[in-house]
Amino acid sequence: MKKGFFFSLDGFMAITLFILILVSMYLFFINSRSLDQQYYFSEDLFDVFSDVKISELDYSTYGTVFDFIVDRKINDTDLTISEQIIDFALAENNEDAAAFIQDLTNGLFDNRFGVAFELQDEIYSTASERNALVARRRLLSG
Amino acid sequence: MKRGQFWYSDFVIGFSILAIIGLLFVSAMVDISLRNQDTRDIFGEIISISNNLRSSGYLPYEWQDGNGRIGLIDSSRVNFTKLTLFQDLDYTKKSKVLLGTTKDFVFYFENKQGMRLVEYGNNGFFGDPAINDMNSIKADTILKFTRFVFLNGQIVKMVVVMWE
Repeated sequence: MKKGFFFSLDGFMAITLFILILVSMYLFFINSRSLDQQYYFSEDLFDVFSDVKISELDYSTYGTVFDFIVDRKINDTDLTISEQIIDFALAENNEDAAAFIQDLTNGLFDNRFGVAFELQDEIYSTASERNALVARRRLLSG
Repeated sequence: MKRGQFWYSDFVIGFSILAIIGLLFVSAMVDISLRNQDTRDIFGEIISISNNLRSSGYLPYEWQDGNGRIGLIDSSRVNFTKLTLFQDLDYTKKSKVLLGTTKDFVFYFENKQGMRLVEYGNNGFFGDPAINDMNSIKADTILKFTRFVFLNGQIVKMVVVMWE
């Protein structure tokens, strides 16, 4: 082989590299997604949970909440949703806190989205795989 | 000639193929970029409108005169008085102007079972009076943006739909 000659194997490798770069650029353009929807989901849930009292909920829609009231796991329906979650968590009753949150949020998110709640530890989560994550924090009292 | 060696004519053919692929790629990217720009414009407006609708608004009894700012939600709860006042507004001359958009939109409420609450508005829809079904929206670009609100004892979705 003479020095500086160009062989078909080199050409093949070059074109493969070229196509790979084009495909990755194309995929980057196609797959670049905004996280605004997730941001507003979390903000709105914080707002609703902080504003709405348990006594305002329609118990025929939220069966678990109704059961908790009947079973006296929820004693004060004048508490807001977030205050009740904190009460459960302070009593180290994450299981009821998770069931409470699930009852309230079930059906609100389509399959593309998951939701998780943390106080000190994670107390509720629906998604096992997280490709893009938006976390919002608020100071709550209860 | 050695086996596998690359010649001038091969180079010309190869280069032509690469140039064609490159041109096709550039035109595809330009097309995607233009479409993305349109989508970004609508997306910016849909977020802005959803923020307004989910706020308390300002001077609701003066919306009819073109004053104030449209907002339907007080402390996460849907205010039915404001919703009725909004519904009574002229869509083109008042609603779109007060919300600061030139694009068409509707919004509706959907419960956790995914059912549109048809007892409110025009078969459940507020905004463009020509729309009483999602299938009646004919457009190349249709975007949806969802917010959570509290309505009649339930946490529901307020879905804003905008198109161009």
